[in-house]
Order: sequence, then structure tokens, then C-alpha cells
Amino acid sequence: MSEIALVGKPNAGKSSLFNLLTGLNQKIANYSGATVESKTGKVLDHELIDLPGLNSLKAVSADEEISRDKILEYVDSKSPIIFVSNGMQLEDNLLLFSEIADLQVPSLLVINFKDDLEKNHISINYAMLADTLGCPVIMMNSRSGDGLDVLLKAIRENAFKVPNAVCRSMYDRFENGQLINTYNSRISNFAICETQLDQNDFFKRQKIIGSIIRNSVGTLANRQNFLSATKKWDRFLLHPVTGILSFLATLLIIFQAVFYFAGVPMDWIDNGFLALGGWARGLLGDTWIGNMVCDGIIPGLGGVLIFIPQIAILFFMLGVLEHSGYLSRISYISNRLLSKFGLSGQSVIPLMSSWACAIPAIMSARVINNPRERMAVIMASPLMTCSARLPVYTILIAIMLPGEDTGFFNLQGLLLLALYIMGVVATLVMAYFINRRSKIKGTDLWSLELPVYRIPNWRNVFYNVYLKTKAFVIDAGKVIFIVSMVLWFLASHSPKSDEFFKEKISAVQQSNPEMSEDAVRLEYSFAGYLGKAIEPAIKPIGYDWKMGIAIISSFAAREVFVGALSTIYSVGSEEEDLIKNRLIKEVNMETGGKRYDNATIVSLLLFYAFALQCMSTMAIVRRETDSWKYPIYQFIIMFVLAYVSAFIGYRAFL
Amino acid sequence: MNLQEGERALIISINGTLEFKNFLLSNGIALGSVLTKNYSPRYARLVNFTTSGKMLSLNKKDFDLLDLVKI
Repeated sequence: MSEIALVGKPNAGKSSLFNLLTGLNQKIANYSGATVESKTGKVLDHELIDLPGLNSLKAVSADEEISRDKILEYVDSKSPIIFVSNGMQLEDNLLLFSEIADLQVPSLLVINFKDDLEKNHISINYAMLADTLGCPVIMMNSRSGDGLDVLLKAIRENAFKVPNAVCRSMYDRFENGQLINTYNSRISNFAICETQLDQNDFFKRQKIIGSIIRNSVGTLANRQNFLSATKKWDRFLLHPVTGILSFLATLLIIFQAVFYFAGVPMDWIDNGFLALGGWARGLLGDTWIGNMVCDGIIPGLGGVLIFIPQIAILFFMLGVLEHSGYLSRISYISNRLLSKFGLSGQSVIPLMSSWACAIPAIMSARVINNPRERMAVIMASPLMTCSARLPVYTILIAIMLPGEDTGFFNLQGLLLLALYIMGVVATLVMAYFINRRSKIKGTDLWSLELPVYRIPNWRNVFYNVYLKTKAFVIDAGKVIFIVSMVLWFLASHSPKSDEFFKEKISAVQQSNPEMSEDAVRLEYSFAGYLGKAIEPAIKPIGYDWKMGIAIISSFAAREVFVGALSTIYSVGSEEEDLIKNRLIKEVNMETGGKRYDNATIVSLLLFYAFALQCMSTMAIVRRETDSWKYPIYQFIIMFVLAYVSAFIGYRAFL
Repeated sequence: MNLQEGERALIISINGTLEFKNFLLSNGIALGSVLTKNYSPRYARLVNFTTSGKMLSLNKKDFDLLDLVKI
């Protein structure tokens, strides 16, 4: 099976085309740098590789280097390239094509966004263009699939051709009486700069491409009309007042929607799990397997899966921002603010991606040119509020502010927004200190391409919501399933004998008649002993041993916290009830007040806002920094920050 | 040179480091490139312009390294 690479400038539609050809679902978005690593799929009998976009073979950022290195491999293997160009920026895209043409790799040129060209009455004589370039040219619209059959036919018939060289002869040298071309070796060793040669190379390419465009493409003057609507919107969305207000309003709407629209489906899921528990109990009875399923697995899974609607709404809202082109505007308006923390607008997309998950966000930091800024983003982005924190926040907010959900704008949504803003502030402060302490050499050169605004492709948006939510359910579900079973075992088995429990239960019930037998059994279970062992360390921040068990359980993945609490309180209670109601009813045995009072909830919110309880994030930081030193520092710094802030929060609200 | 929104200009020289010049080249900008300034509010410290059909923004201090002539 031979390889084919999809190559092109950022935001040219490569990943859309990759999805069309392979039937896979690689992330697509309307901004430069949505793809930061190569992805592989199958088309016909070939392996298709979607490479990150690059501006030039003189790669600047880490993601561009991946593409350049892969293209250079193709020089030896003679594997073919599909070059995807944005039809509305053809001369700019053909400059890169000409650099690749000089490598003499079999190629095929796809001119994408055929619909935009047609709408703006820009005609391309693609037969003439193909003749001039020396390789096939195919017009396409990767969003609708128009032209896909022609492309598939070309792949099937292996229509790739080595294009005509453009500036390759500039690199001919006579050495030892032989003519040697140094172009390929020069591209491989770009570190050595020869400005005059680069300038001459660029001018020659520009001149030749300009001439090709003049001969093959109809008037480009209409392109101004194409951009005019975007420019009008930019006057509003980049404005110092309306732009910033629009940004804040967007955030407010996102977080209000997370609460407002999710309420009803969350109730369905919650009641569904209650009914499932009752049904399973009836079927399996009071056997050990019945207890494990009804007190362990079902409450554990139900405790987390209830948050699917909120997570799906968050992914949907972020998807709309990504597809519309608005994310790049947020980069623009936040550039100055970020510069005070040693960052730039280039960091906005990785940081905002952290709201979904820190892992792709850390990987997308590859688009940042400045190595020091990239390190700051990698180290600080886990402080942004990821979707795994959402279940923890939501349940704690619902306990703290019950019955506040009146209308679209409510206190619960505002508190959630405040927590997200707190995450942003913590991220910026962390980035500031890392920038100041870092010895990595930096550069502040960067450019921001503002894409045209587009109505999101709803199929892609919804499909991405489905895929990401499914990934959350499967990833979190697997961990929670195992943790629930282990926790159930630890919480329902004890090193003590039955005689001990008989004596203990009668003694406890004499002094406190409200304490159930199950609660006593839980306290003297393996889990109870484990929780009691760490209680001295967590008591200063307001937690008891039951919360301690949930915190230990969620060290590998923070979303496990709610599932673990569900399991613990199911084992320790004879009633079937929603996890939220169980937590509201829980009594503090020392004070007689609520166990989940405001001080404890604030402390838990702060702990989960700052603690790095995600093994996957640590693994990806190690991969991106090529060292365990950074994730270990990150874990320690965030744990200390979490503990200290939880302590202060608890004392302040006590 | 103080270019206003909507005005077109030609780059007649580029000051700054070699790294900067190479960076511009990789973005398709060189001597002789024509650009049109777009709406660029000062607070962001970025200058937004259109060149070769794409809307690019550069840091203002970098943009000021370009010597331009209005056309």
C-alpha cells in the first residue's frame, strides 16, 4: 500500500478533504493550525496522510517541521502528494506549491473552495493551469464534496505527475566537474540562512506565479467583495468596546446555556439510572453481584454520565466558535492583554481549546512560534477549566445554589462563569511566572491570519459533538467502571469480624439512633480505613474521610470524583436517591450541620480548580517537552496551589 | 508611515533582523508586495492588512519595520 500526503497552507481545507476521502473524522476548524500532527486514513488502496498546514518549506513552528520533514521523505520514496490550495488565495498558495514542485515529487493540485470562486465570478482555466504547472489540477469543494469523484478517479488512475520545476535551477552548482543541484539539501538544512538567495528565490517564484495566475485565472478584483462582509463584521467584533463586550457576552451565553438547556435531559438521565438501579435490584436481589451492580457500578456510572448534556452543549458552543472564524478574532482582541503575561494572541486557541480538554490544547501549542511562550502554554493550560471539571463543578454548584435555575440567566450559570474566569486568571499568572523563570530563548515574531467568517457546517459541528461526547463517555466510563467496582469492594468489605460489627452497631445506635447500620459498616470498611488514614491531611481544608476516598479515587482522572462519591454514599445508605439529594442530606457528625456546607463546597471547588488530577495530561506534557521533569513540577505546583487555596477558601467561608 | 484604513501601499524596504525578513518571506511578504490596511484598533497592538487575498495581522512594532509607499 503506497502513501499519499495531503499538503497545503493552513486553513486550506486539507482536513475536510481528508475526512471526505477516508470517511474519518479528523478535527476541522476555521482557523490556521487546527491540525498539529499528521493523521492517517485509507483511501482506495492507499494510505492517506493529513499533514499540518505550513506556510513555507522554511518551517518556523513545530507543526510545520512535521510537515516539512514528511515531504522531504517523499523526495526519496517518490510517494505522491495532493497539494490542497485555497482558491481564494491562489497566488499565495501556489508560492508554496512551487517550493514543493522544485523537490520533484509526483503531485496533484486541488483547488479548493470552488463554491467561493463561483459565487465571486472568478473563473480558473484549470486545463491551462495544469499544462503550465505540469501536473493535474482538480477543482473541488471539500465542504460539500463537489469534485470528489474526479479526485478519486485521479487517485485510482495514479494521475500524479512530477510538476515543472520553478526555481530549482537557481540552486545548480558545479562541484568537481559535475552539475549538482543543492535545492533539496538546502531545504533540509534551513538553519543556514542566505537572505539574498532567499529574496531572489522569492521574487522569481512571485514573478512566475504572478504570470501563471494572469494567464489562467479570471479577474481577482471580485475578491474584495468576498472579504468585504468579513471586514464589516470585524469593525464591530474587533472594536475596543463592542468587540470586548461581544466576547464577554459570548462567554456568558456559553456558560448560561450549559446550565439552562441541560436541566431537563439531566433529570431524564438521573431518573433513568434510578429506575435502572431499582430494576437491577429486583433482578439480582440482595446478592454480592446485586450489591456490586446496584451500589457500585450503577451509581458510579450514573454520577458521571448525567453530565453528558452539559458536556455536549459546551462542545457544541466551542464547535460553533471554531467553525465560524470567531476564535481568531478572540486572538486579535486579547493580544495586548496576553502580552502582559508574556503570551500573545497566538496562545488563545490552545488555551480556549483547554475548555474542552487540556490534551489537544497542549498539542495545539505546537503552532506557537515562540518556544518560551509554547512552554508557558503547555505548563499553564491545565489550569483552564476542562470538561472533566464540569461534573464536579456542576454538582457542587447545584448543592450550594439549589433552586436558583429561574430563566436563562441564573446564579448557577454566573458562578460557573466565575469559576471559568478564575481558571483563566490562574493560567495567565502561571504563564507569567514560567515566562519570567524560563531560560528558553524566545522570539516574539508571529502573524495572525483572520479567516473569512463562515456559517458553521452543522453536520461537522454536530458530528464533532457526538464524537467528543462519545470519547468522554468511553474514556471516563472505563475508568469509572473499574474504580466503582474497586471502591464498592473496599467499601463493602472489612477486616473486622461480624461480632465486632454487632457490638459496634448496637453501641453506636444507642448514642446516635439516626446512624444507620450501613454507615457503621462503611466506616469500618477497607475504604473507611483508607479514608481515615488521610483524614488528618485533608481535615484542615474541610474534608472528611469519605471525601478523602473520592479525592484519592480521582487522582488519575478528576471526573471520577462524582462517581466515587455516588458509590460511597450508595454503599453507606439504605435509600435509593439522586446523588445530589444524598449530598444535600449528609450530616456533619461533629457539628450536626450540613456536611456539604458553603465552606466545604468552596474548598472543593478551589481544590478541583487547581489540582492536576489527570494522568493523561501529565503523559502528554512529558511527550511534548520530552522530559518527566516538567509534568512533575506541574503536578507539585498545582497541588500546592490547590491545597493552599482550598484552605484559604474553607477558612474564609467557615 | 501612517497608513489609514482602506489605503493601499507598496513595500519598498524591510528593516529588522534576518529572522524577521525570513519570517515575512514564509508569510508571502517581501519587497514589492502590495497590502491594503484593514480596520486595526490600536488597543490590540496588531496591524491587520490584506495581501494576496488573505487577511494577516502583524505586531505593530514589526509592521513599523516595513517602509511603505502609498499607491
